[in-house]
Amino acid sequence: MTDAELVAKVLEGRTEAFATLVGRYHQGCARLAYRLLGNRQDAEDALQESLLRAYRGLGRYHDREMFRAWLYRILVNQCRTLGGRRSRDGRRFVHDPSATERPSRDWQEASVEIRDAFQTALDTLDPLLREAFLLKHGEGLEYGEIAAITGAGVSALKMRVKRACDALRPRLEEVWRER
Amino acid sequence: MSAELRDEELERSFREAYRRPVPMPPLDEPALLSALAAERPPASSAGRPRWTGGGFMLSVPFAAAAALLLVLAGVLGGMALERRVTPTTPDSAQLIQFALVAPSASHVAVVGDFNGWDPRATPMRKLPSGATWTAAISVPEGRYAYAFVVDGRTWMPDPTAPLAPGDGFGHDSSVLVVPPGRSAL
Repeated sequence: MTDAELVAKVLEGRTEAFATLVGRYHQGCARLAYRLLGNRQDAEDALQESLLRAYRGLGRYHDREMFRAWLYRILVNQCRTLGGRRSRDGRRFVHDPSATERPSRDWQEASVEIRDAFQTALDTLDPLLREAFLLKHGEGLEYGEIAAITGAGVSALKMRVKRACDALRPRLEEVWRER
Repeated sequence: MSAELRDEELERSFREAYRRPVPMPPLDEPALLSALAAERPPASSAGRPRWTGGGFMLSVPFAAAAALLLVLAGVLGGMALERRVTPTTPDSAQLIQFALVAPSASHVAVVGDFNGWDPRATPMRKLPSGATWTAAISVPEGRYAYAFVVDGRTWMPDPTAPLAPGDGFGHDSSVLVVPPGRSAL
């Protein structure tokens, strides 16, 4: 059954179809929210609120859009709101505890070291740069899709991704050189 | 190892890192359906008349206030900024002149919603005085966020224009309001 057919069923009153629909994208949404916000509690809050907003707004969804992109747009906006609130509160991101393994000269563990560096570097990125970078290189979306999700122009997004890469590269090269 | 290989390796490492499982619970369908039971069922909006414009529409009071602020900024900050609006067509685009005093810069561009935030789209020209950079572009009616890019790496808001409403992330950009008709900033 297509996403559009599931949407139609929800709009007919078959609420359970909504769970099927969002179940298709829940894992990706959870990962994106976690990577954007940096901690589980905020990511769960953002995801839960996004699903409710998607349900409330489903009547405004048009199947000419990709449902995934539409859902991601709601989620990204929710993460922006929550991230901004946390920023104003002065709250620091809590890093993934699993990303703090001990560095090693072994290749596999050096790879872990680089992943740690990515995680740490990501958390220091400007939120809009991090958002564009994650959608592009994490979720593997096309710029057109990212534009639909974020509301930014393709040129601006390319610039954000480039600036994110420029900011990440020296940090990662430093780790690479120390291997 | 070449830089190209290194970049590939870094990208691969990032993709692997990104795809690692995150400590998030799976979808709890019963809990979701329970939460939805408290919601009003969604209904299709097909056939409903549209009563609102796009996300960039301004309320009249806000547009007037923003335009007034920009006029004051233009008058009071005339030494640093000269931004004129000249109608090019009666009802649509107007010629906006941006200016920034940056005597030590070697390149300045203006970026904003009107040019896709592309630093290559609107390079500014240095005036013979050697301190002021200007650019004039045609911008349709509306409200825009914009900033200057100095030497390709420093992004800064217009020092004499109102800051754009905060996006919560500490981004600094300025507001440009192009009013309808023949009025100026």
